[in-house]
Amino acid sequence: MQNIKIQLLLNILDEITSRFDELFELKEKLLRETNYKATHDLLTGLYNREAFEKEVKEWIDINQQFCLVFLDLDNFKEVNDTFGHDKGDEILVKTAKIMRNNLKGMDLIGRIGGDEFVMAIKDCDRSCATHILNIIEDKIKNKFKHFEVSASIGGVVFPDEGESYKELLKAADKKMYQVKENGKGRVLI
Amino acid sequence: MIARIYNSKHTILKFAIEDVFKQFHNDFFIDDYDFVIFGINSDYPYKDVNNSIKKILGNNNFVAFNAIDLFCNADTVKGVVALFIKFEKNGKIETYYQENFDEVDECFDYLLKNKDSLNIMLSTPSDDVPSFLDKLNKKVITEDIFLIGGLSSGYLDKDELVAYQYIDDKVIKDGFMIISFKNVEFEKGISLGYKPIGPIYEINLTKNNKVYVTEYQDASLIAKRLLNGMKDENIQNLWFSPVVILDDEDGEVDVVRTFKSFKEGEYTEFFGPVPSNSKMKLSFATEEMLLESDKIQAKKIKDKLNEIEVGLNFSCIARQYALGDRQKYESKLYSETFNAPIFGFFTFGEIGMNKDFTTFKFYNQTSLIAGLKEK
Repeated sequence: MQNIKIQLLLNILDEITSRFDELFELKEKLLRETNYKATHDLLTGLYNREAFEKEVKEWIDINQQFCLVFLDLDNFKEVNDTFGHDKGDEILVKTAKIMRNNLKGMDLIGRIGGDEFVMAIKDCDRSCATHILNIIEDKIKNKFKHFEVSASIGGVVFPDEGESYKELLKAADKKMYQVKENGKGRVLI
Repeated sequence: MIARIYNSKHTILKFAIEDVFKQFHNDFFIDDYDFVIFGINSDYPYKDVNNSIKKILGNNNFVAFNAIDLFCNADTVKGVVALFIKFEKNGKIETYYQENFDEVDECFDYLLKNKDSLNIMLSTPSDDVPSFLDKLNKKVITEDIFLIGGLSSGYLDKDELVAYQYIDDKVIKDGFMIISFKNVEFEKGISLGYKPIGPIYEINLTKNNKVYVTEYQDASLIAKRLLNGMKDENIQNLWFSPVVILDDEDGEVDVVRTFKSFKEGEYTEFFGPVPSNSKMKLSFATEEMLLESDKIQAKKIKDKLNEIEVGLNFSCIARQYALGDRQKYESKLYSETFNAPIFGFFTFGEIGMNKDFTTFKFYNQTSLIAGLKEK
């Protein structure tokens, strides 16, 4: 009888400690969620501006070769104005998905403004990047042809075209604007 | 009031009743009686109970009920135990019974009529008891109505659980009787002694006595986990750790429930209903803790009444299991504290009231004790 009681108390103790495990799991989950919210764009699930910059700077610090890309959707404002923000959001989410599906898991993707995306493609030279980005641009154009949405894409290669994140981003942005000025819906690297 | 209790362990019912009647006749302290309450072990043939008693007493001034174990002062008896009562002033006993659990209004009217009495409800161990009490509770209690009691305990005879009530030449197989002590002063207590421990479980889905989902998990897992590492999965091992259902408002213990069974992947069943969306905790007590709680309640009653003429005790059979070797100490403790005869039995559930005495409750694993004396 006493053995049963002692075993029962040990089992109750397990019930209590299992709640501690649950609490630790909940704490970890909360930390993960808080960290995710602080580093990600909640609409698309891509890195936000700060997190993307931090990750790219780490690559720069270790002299990792990569191609930094600036992507801006063309005619996106018209979609928002004509079809509403829900449709606009849907296009942003699908654009993020297209980028994710066509890049490697180790590459970085971020959303840094309304319809402005950035990518950092690891171990990728100019021709490799051009090839990948043309596919992305093509898929975006096809996917949203009904809305006449396309993507203007500019890219630069580290370390050839800039030494700091700021320089690289400015250069990629400049190339993207060149595309915009020359008819939109293209890739320039 | 003079109250005297006698017992007989004779295996033939007729002889056992004759034996207690003989003890009554030979008792120097009592020469007559107004009423007798018989506790009859359920091994005796139930069909013979009414006739055997009536033949010997020569009247109908008695009731009887089945129980596995009966209290005769400090002893626990498997046999026949009889409480003979002789009132000396204005005391009186009135009885009421139902052969079902349908006539809520009628029962409430009876209780209202006996609002100043100590009403003892003895019932067959039916799942209808808790819902009947709930229906009684729906009547607004504007007067002080006191009701305590217990569910008869018994053995299975083929498929029949022999745990009946006997009154007015009837055998009540599914119903109850109320014995009202009128013009008596009384005090009662509910002894628990279990300390709530462990985590709080949210109860998500129940049906009557079965809990299907707790903490959004299959509820059988609780019983299964608690039985882990034991030689067998005997549910009685969990009688040492009943669950306490917590009160919605103050979070204190509302009622205690004893584990009855579990079906893997489906449910855990208790000896009483568990409401959905309530919260429960496990509990535990050592034998000392249970007896200490009994002592506190007994002392409270003794201090209030000073002199006690008879004590009534309805103690859960699962509590007795938890008391193990010390189960006899409970009635001994009451008997010594009250310095009065103690009559009662091991129940299959207790009927009592909440701490404010405003609501009727169905309990498990408690020891209900009342002390009374004639006014």
